[in-house]
Amino acid sequence: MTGEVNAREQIAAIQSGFELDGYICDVPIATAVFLARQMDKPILVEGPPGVGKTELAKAAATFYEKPLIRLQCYEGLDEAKALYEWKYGKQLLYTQILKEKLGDLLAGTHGLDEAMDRLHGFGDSFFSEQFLETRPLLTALQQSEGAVLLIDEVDKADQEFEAFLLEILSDYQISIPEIGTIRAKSKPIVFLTSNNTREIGDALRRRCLHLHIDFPDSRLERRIVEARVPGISESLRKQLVGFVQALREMDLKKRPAVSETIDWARSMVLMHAETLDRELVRDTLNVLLKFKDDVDVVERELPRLTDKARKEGR
Amino acid sequence: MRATLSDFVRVLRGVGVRISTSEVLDAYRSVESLGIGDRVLLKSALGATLAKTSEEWELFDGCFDRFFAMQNMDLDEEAANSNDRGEPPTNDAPPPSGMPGGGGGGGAASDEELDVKTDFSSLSPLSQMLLDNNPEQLAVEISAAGQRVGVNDVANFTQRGRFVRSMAEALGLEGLDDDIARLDTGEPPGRDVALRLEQARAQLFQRLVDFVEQRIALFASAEGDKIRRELLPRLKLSNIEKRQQEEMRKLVRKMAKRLVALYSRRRKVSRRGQLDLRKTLRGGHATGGLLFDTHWKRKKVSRPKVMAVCDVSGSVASVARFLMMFLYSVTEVLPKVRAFAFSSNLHEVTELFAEHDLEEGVATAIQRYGNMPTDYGRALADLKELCFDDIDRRTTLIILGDGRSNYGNPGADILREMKERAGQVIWLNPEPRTLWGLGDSEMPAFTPACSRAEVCNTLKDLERVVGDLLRFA
Repeated sequence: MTGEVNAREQIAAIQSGFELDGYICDVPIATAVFLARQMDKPILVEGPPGVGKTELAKAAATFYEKPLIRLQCYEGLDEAKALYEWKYGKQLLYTQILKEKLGDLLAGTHGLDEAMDRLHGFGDSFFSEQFLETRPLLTALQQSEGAVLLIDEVDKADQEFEAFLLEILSDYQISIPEIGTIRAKSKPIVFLTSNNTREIGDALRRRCLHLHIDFPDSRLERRIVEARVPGISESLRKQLVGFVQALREMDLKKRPAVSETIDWARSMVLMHAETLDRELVRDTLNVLLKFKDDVDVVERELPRLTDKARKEGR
Repeated sequence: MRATLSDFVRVLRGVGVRISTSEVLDAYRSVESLGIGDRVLLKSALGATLAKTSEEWELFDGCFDRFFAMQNMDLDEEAANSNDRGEPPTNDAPPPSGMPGGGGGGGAASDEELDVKTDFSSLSPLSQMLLDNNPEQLAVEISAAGQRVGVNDVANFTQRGRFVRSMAEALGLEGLDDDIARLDTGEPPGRDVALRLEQARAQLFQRLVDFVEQRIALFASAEGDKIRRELLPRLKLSNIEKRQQEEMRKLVRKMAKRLVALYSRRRKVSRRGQLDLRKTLRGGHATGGLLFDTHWKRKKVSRPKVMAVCDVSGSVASVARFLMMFLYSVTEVLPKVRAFAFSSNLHEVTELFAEHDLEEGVATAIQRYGNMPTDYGRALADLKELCFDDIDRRTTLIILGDGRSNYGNPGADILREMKERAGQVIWLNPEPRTLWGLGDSEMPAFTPACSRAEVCNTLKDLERVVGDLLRFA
């Protein structure tokens, strides 16, 4: 039982620790982070854009006081960009520079076989760690103090890249043919984020804990705005969160995300607004909505929406 | 707890959440470290370990509430209290059962009948429990009895009576009946007790029925869903009813996704980052043997072109619908699909699909071009005129039709001509092979002019055909 109490305390600690950093989260998020630490498993975070998937990794890095190493995925990303690469340029340059040295070294040998034998005696110096360019994944494994590894938008990468992540994510090790297997000095906390532009394969999902972050409810969102935009008055906060929540109910191309609520709140503070009025909302709507069609739809509904938000805020 | 969790996993699998053994182990571990006291934590932990997509999370959400609402496992009181909407079936049921019957009567009678109470010790345990009127304990006993008779294996509604009966027996119904019979023939105070027991017995049965029905709702419907999902792909496409179409669409999407995952990897070998030594050395000539520019290995992979020609007259239309659905669901791997529809004249409907969504496109094509007597000779001639020049060795031509040309010219020679140009020609026929060549079927003429001719009338067939297409195209 003590273990359970302890776990509950730790989850509460994660929640309040994140809050200090300005990241307000609910129990499922904190639980997932706790379990990820406990079970040494990566977390796959899914949800609409702008709900704070990337921020979660940043908050975790601050909370655990570990460096954040970020790998942004894109189509065509391969192991040379994600894991390691040989410094080909350096290798070639060194061979050129060492050309003369090579002549000295091989002086006095008779025939090709003898020269080769002598060369073999020097080992694979060109395929050693000096010529290894570490990329994010390898860097994360090499941190002796552990790290927070953020593999951002893993759905943008190709299918085969996923397969190649499997070894790292389940065993925290990488095999480099020329050198051997590199194990993590200290297991990093791994976050993968996805916007679902492509289905992530089952094999990868199985190795991860899954966390779905959705748009927050108004109570949580108010707290987020409070934490992120300190200078805003209570009533305005209520009003604008109410307004944004109402927008999310509407049929829009892109629903405003939390990050946009925060931006909007910031711009309100900059304009020294006290309450939402129609003119103000119309002028700043472009902060919230990123499509012309959406702006048109909302503008038509504007009087109703602002009145409703103002009533709620009171 | 273990039994409860594995039951829960079974329910989840039943509704279509895919859970592997390693995930179950993860769930155990997470529950071990978090305990089961806090339902919010339990839900987050199980959700994180068992439900791996957003859709699965929705399913999980519903199942969790339903399952743990009626699950009377060894929860702490705290959990039982904190859960306000979960417990109704077990916790709310007793008050009505207690008030009018045993409890109410018992409360009034208990003062004057204190002496009878001592008498209870001679009764069977079940009778004592019912007279004690302790709903929590009864609920625990009921679910323990449920475990013993394996009520979670209930498969359909007709088993209800059987399970209620065997659960009652597991609870000690025999002793209760004996008590009632004995007391009923005895002294007046004993008779009152017998009356109370009789009422309590009726209520007990009502509760057992409720209990079993909830299990049926949870487990049997999950079981049924599973059976249906396994059965649907084998059903003849022309026999599929309207209400199953949504489910079929889901199935098609799922199958297509699997095929895409299977074959998309192979198509992308071009972007491998490997040093092309030959090119690099050759590039070095310009700088006097100094190797400055690095060149990378590349391989070009050509994408196959698919032309799907569908007979959209009556009988074949339903198969055509699903073939189209399939082909357009694998666009990630097959980006170049051209679609044609015909019954007598042939028309290209690629545009139609680009403009509308799939379902609408198919419906429009069928409505616009169907309902005419099929004429294969005419259709194939039209096809030749439309796109003969576009057919090359990378093209796969799929023809879906029953090959019944109403005794008109089949146009098999045109098909042969196309086969010579195309990579392959596949004929899909929804009719069983035994009917080929009977009546106005021209299949014997068409078959030699195709690379392959196959029967195709279930979703499984379609999956196989499209899978082959992705493999060999």
